[in-house]
Amino acid sequence: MNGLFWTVLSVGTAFSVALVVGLLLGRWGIASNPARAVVNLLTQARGAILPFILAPMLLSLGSSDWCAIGVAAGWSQAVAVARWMHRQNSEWSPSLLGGIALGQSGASLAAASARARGAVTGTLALTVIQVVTLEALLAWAHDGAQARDSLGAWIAQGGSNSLLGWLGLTVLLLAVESLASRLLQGKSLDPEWFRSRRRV
Amino acid sequence: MVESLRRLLWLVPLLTLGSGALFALLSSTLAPPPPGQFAFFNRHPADAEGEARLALELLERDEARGSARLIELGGAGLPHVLSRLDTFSVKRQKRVAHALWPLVGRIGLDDPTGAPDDGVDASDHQLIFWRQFYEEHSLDFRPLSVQRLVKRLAARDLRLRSADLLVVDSFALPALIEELGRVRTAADVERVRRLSALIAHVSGRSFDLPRPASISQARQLATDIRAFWDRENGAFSQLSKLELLGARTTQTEFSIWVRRSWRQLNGVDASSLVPRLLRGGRVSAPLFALTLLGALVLGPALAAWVQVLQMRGFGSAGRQAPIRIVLAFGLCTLVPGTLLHTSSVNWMLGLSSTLAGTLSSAYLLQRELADRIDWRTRHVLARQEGLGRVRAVVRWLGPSIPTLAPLAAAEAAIWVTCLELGAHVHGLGEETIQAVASADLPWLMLAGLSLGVVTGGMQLVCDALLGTARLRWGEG
Repeated sequence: MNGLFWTVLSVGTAFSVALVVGLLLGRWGIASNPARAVVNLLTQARGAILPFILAPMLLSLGSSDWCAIGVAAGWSQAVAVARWMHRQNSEWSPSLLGGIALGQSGASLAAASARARGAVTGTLALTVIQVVTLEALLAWAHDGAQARDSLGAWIAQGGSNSLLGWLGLTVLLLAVESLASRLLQGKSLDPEWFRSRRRV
Repeated sequence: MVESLRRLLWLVPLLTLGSGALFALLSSTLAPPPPGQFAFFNRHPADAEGEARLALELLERDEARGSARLIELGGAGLPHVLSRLDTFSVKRQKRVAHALWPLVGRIGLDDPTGAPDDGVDASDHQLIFWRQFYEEHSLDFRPLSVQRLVKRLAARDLRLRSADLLVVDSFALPALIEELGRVRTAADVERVRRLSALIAHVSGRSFDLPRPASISQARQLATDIRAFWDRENGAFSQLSKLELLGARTTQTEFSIWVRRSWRQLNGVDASSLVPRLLRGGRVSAPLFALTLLGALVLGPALAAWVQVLQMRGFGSAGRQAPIRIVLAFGLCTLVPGTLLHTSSVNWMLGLSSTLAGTLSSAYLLQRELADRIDWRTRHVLARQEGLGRVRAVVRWLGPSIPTLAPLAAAEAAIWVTCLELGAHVHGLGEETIQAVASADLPWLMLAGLSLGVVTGGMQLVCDALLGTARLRWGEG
């Protein structure tokens, strides 16, 4: 159970970083062209510094395992969220346009635009796989000797431990998927959808 | 178009800045510079004059270490030491002459003053020798004359020229290193043999070329000599004030990396990275391509198919689709990875990488589609014919693929690394993980910059496509 705890902690960190940094970056990217350029730059940096290089970097700076893995995976997902949010070809839904016309704040606009995009929700939901993959990679890299107890390390060890790892992963996947859906994409947040359902 | 051109032009400065930033990150975390070396700025760059002065000061405090340093500097320090002899007290002059005495054998000179006469103190004799030496050879310690000698030696095997160069000792090192040049023919091998023998003699290092030697052996030796010179050049170089100012940035780890990379790119140095890249690329490139194929072609197709199914009335199946896809994704990517832990089968690796790419992008795009196609659109599309419905879904899905592509490149690299490690296959991913563990800075820089450039290139092309698509589909 210890492994599951550390993985949940890493997933929580990654999810928080991806959500907060991703939405802020995305909101900033929507706001201005220079900001879009910065998001483009960060997308390239995301390619250059992969999470399994970033995590050991953070570890060498004295960060704890779960934090390093969480921040590395979360950072990667945050940039992905920002790119999905500020892409050029986005069309605005009538409710969002209404919100803009009513002069809602930039932050609520960003939150609404994130809510209206499945890819953003999907990216956040995939955070758990990023974290577990990163754990497995680091466990493989250290031949299991230095890898801490985690779902990824269990999967990497093979045998009966893998089964436990998969079970834990399945539970986490479902939990994070439903959490991301409820938090960010839930149709219940869109009043127009409710109105339309009543009419139909 | 203008936007794309602007971004394309930006790639060069971006690459320069990016390499600096990446180097700074790596050298401050995973691969710190060796003790006494600096990453970007050297506050105390070395030159022959400064090193000679320091060695003389050291000689006053610690005779053994000071003497060893003077011998190590050799000919590069001689002009600065001998020209200052007169400014010292007689006692100190004798001490310096004594400290330099072991050099006499190395510079290949017979003692011109002969054995000390009876009644002449040995230290007086050494001092007289060095005074005479400087009077006779001070004109030899000129960069231009040394360069001429080195060029002649490089062109032909002239024992006389070699003896002339021995006199100036390590003063000739900069010219000798420069003359090593490219190694492509048998004549180049002979040139490297002549020059390396002299370099080994004056530097006290072992740079031996076996006889007979192949071109690759000679190139490797030239590379090793230049690697030694990259770090040690300061102490043996005669630098002007301006050059010394510039040396604050050139005598750094980043500058060494830039010089080596440039030489390797130009084919001057033998590169250990290229064979590793080619060997690993044979395994990783097909897997990377399959993952990208899955992410950019099969995944979108699967997402579109699920969406069309949903419109045809499979409502509950459509609603459950994201959960099913994400579960399949999690299991189909990590399970094969662990199965491959015990048996490496090529087709299974290929299948796993394709599945990883396909399911991850299908999950993302299906969620995107489900969110973008609202109830009105779905209602209208449900009444259309089959092909029209598919076309509509593809039109909705199309613009998402270029957005996904640059992100998918990094994801693909992660999946490929994961599969390689799981299957114990030696590819680029495994090589990179090993580089992280062994703080192999050149490889990490190569891996980071390559993937950064691939991502940047894909981003550029995809954003240009998005612009075109927007105009064509009237979404602007």
